[in-house]
Amino acid sequence: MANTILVNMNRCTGCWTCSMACKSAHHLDVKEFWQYVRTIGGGEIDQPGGEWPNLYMKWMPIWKQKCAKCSGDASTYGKPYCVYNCPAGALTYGNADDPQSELSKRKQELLDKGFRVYEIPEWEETREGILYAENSI
Amino acid sequence: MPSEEKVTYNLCQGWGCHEHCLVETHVKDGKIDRVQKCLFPGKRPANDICMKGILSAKIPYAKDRILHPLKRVGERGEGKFEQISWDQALDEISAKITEAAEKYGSRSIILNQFWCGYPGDWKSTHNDLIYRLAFAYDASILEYQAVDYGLTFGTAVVNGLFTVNSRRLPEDVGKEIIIWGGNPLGFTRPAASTHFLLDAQERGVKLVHISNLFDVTSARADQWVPVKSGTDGALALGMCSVVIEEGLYDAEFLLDKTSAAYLVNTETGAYARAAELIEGAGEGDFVAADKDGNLGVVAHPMGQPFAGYGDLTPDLFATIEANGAVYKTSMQLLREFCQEWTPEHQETVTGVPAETCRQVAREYIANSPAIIYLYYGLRYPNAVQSNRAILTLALLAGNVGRKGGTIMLAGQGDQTTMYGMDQNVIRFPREVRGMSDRVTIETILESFENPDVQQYKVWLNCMGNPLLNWPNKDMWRRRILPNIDLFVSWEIRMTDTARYADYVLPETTTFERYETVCDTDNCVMYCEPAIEPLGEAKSTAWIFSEIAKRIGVGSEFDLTAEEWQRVRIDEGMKGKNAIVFDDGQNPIGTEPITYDTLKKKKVMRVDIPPMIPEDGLSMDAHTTTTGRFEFYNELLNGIGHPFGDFEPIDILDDERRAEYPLQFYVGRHKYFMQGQFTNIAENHLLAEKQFGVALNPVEAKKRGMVDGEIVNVVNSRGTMRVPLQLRDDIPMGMAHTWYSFDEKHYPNTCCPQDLMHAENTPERETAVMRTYYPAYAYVNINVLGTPQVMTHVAGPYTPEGLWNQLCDVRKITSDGKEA
Repeated sequence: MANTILVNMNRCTGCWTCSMACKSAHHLDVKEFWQYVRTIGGGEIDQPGGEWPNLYMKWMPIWKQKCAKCSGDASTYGKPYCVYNCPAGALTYGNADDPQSELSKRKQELLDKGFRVYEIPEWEETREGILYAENSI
Repeated sequence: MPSEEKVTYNLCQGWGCHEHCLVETHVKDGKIDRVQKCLFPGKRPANDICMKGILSAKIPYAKDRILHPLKRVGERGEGKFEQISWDQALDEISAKITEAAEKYGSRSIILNQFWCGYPGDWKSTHNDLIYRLAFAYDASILEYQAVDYGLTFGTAVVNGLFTVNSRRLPEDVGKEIIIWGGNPLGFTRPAASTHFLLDAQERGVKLVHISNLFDVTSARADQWVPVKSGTDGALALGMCSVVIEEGLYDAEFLLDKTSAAYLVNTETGAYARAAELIEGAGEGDFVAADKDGNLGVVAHPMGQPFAGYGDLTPDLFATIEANGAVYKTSMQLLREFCQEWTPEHQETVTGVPAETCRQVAREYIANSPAIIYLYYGLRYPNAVQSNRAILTLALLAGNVGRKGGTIMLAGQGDQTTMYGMDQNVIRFPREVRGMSDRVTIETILESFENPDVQQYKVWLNCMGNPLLNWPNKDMWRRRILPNIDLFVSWEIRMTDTARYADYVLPETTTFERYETVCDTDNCVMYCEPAIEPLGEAKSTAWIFSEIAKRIGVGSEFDLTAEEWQRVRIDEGMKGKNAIVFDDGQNPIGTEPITYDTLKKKKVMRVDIPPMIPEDGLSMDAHTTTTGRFEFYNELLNGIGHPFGDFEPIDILDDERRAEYPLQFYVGRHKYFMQGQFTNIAENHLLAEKQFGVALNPVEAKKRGMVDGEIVNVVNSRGTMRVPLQLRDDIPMGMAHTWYSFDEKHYPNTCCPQDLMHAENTPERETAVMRTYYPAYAYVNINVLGTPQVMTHVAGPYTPEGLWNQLCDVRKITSDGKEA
């Protein structure tokens, strides 16, 4: 798929920059999100799971089906606004069918490091073409 | 008709995070359409953006934006104002300034230039103009609250000066980074620091996080070491003890760079001067001994490279007797001092298991070169001593001033300004009426009680939001403001401080004004207005010029906001060059930095010899007693603190805890920064459920409380009635809240700031600061030549302390009373 996004879950810090960049570029209302960040932990945003001091927390950016599958503009070098602005280097964009794309190379690099690469099941009705890579977190 | 589009570069309105990002502003038809990451010339990534940066585009259009000059009509704090003209505001303010100056002297005018959170901070034109006005009129500069200087003073004791290291140091080498305190991956400094720390981790560098709370950094780190609040010094000493007793220290480094082998007279506690033990030797030199007790002179380096020990093979653990006194090396004294701090003993203080203490210490050595990243995360009155103890550990490991192995401080850009731009071209007026004075809150409060000393009558709050950001709010309401005749605030929105002001002056946002800043990643940045100022908002250059005209110093402020930028670049950066890059971002040459070139290029990477040399130390001219790194300080030995150590503080005091058993911990919210973003709806949406107080479920259960109920947070200073959240990331013994929410979120009840003790007041003095501060001031003013008014922390107060207060969280009965 041409406009695939690869999420390196090991680098996501749950900062919501992707989400706000999307809202801002697409002029979404305050409560409208095409993309958001789920905290995996204690239920609320940035709330860890577990009991002190055995705690855990990680973040999963979610693209809804409403995602415009944009590719930004010239100022973002053709990358979607979410990907371009990510301050953690957690997101890679490209054509998953082209083995030479930045995305395919990054995916292979992570697979070689022992990462699992997975997708959210179709029945969760999120945007297609989002790959998650994760290793021991 | 096609819309008119343009792109400008502007400072993020946040900036208080000290990441100092430049943002790329896209404008359509005169309105900001969006803001996004801006790329810098040269290697990538060199600049980032976070969610606050993205949302900063909304700040000019916020509902509570102040668009016209306002004059108070109600009581201070009531928030009732009338709109007035600029002329009326400037005339009335200037008349009151003149009146106060005639009656009480020009020093009765106080300028607040607390820059934290202001775009461009102390590097901004605005900050320079505040100094210019102060010097032109001989007004006073306010010494802002003591905060975040524990590290400055800790490094100053050990190194003599503030050691600034590049945040780029971990890029290539190093095997471990210990992030000690703070939350650089998450809450406070989320842009470039996040990127480089994650890059390091991806390269295989182990990230260890030592902190009192579980946060984003803890979640992302390879190992999290929870430590009880305020006990970090004890953990560091436990680790020092492991390193010494297991012989893991770097003897070569200790001899080469530190005073470890220097003999100390155990009677006097002073380093032995050579003349004292060796006939004919100098008063200013020192002494080491070998294993056989032979002595040798160690010359003071006097700012030159260290000359070594001559023929002597110094013994790090030498003990000798001479002139009836016992002399021991500072290393031997450290060893004896640390014997008490076994990993088991530190566990009783810190809660860190002895085995974890051993493991972290051993791995820190085994993974050398390793970095300790200090992030201003020790906001306790014992922070100077804790930081000294941590620095001692780094010195023992030889992990100081080594590429990939050093002490790194918070990511304040790369401090380019310090050598990139000479800001004095604006700060000093053509005619200096006086060198002003830096006055503390203590001085001001004292003056209200004593008419014989300098009085303070006019408060120009040119920067900062003290009524939100500074404790103790009650002190402002009850003790400061009633004694001030005029309180004026420069504002972009109705902040807590604005609500208490007599006049509110609408200032331009960073998107509406000119600015040049030499800062982030060695770059100099040109910012031009993205949009026309909204309403009647004016640049501070204009405001100062209008006030200056009316108080008789107008000739010093005869330039426009844009013209000041030309002065900053063409005069302040005269002779400096920038690197020229090709399209592939490869350096291909240099060109002079001029205002006209910068205006065209927007961002230029300054070509400067690396301020951060290979050894990672930016200021290696030690002004310590011995001219070397010192973990032993003879001055502080006089008050029983020869080494960095563990000082007891209020929150660890059992007696105090009997009355108020919880640490009252006031954090900075990741979506709000210094409070600049609290009026942005998107931020509120994400953060609103965290408003109130949070307790560990165990603490809540003890009190019979459930998630969401309204509770009283109580201490001797007040009661704050807010909702309770149960959070597993809050340790036992702590009540956690945020200082970010505005006063209006706390109707009819106290704010967190009310429950906090005031800073810069006599009760915040510490023995260490009373003893050390004069020496620090001497070095700054007499050795470095910094004008007193430009030094920070003008007093013997603890430079930290925000997290050193207690409270209880109490249940409210159905009739609204405490159970």
